[in-house]
Amino acid sequence: MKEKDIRQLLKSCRVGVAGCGGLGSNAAVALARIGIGGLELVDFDKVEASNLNRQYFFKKQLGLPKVEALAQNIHSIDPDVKLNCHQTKLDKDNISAIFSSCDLIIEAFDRAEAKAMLLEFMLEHMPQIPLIMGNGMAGFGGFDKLRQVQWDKHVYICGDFEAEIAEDLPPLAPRVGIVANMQANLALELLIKKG
Amino acid sequence: MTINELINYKNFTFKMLVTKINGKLVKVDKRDDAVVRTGDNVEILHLISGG
Repeated sequence: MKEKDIRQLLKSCRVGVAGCGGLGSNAAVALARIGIGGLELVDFDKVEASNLNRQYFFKKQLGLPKVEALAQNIHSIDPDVKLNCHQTKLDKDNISAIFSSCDLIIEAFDRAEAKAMLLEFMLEHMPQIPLIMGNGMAGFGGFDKLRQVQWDKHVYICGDFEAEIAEDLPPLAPRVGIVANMQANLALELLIKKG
Repeated sequence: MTINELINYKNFTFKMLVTKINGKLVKVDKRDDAVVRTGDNVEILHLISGG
């Protein structure tokens, strides 16, 4: 498929990004670069120095809300991407309102509890919208352990399913970036398949 | 046995799990009621912090 046709198709697509940290910021940027029409960015947090080892932010953005910093970065790449920024925590009361207009959701939370909450909510209330989750990406190397699994009709999971973030197993740009781009790559594939 | 009993039996001590029986989601608060029968397909997804 020619790039201009891909871009034409993506122009009418909207992707929700649940969490704008290591996975979310990188996946969002990848989608912005290839011409996604719109992104719904959600994160309650602010940019901290410890984020810079993997998240798509810059030193001058320390202290800014992540959704705002990410919006700046995305618009520096492509000002035409339509962005809705939500500096809030996602929960059962706001997920529908924020994501119901999306063609696909990328789950990029930090806490396992939040991942479980979003998965259960989507399966129960928005089962037709594809959800691409991230599960296990800490450390370095171990490329052969990273995989992509279809867990339900519209639920996909990228990661190694085992590497939990710990003091001696930190999340780092290379491996986190791989998983984030696995998510973006799969998102592109699903959006094109859907036509 | 119920899904929770199965989880305990298997010694799954993971904090965050999402469970399905025969392809259908069994929510956290229903795991004490949902019964697993012989031949049922049970999926237990272990969710890991990080992202």
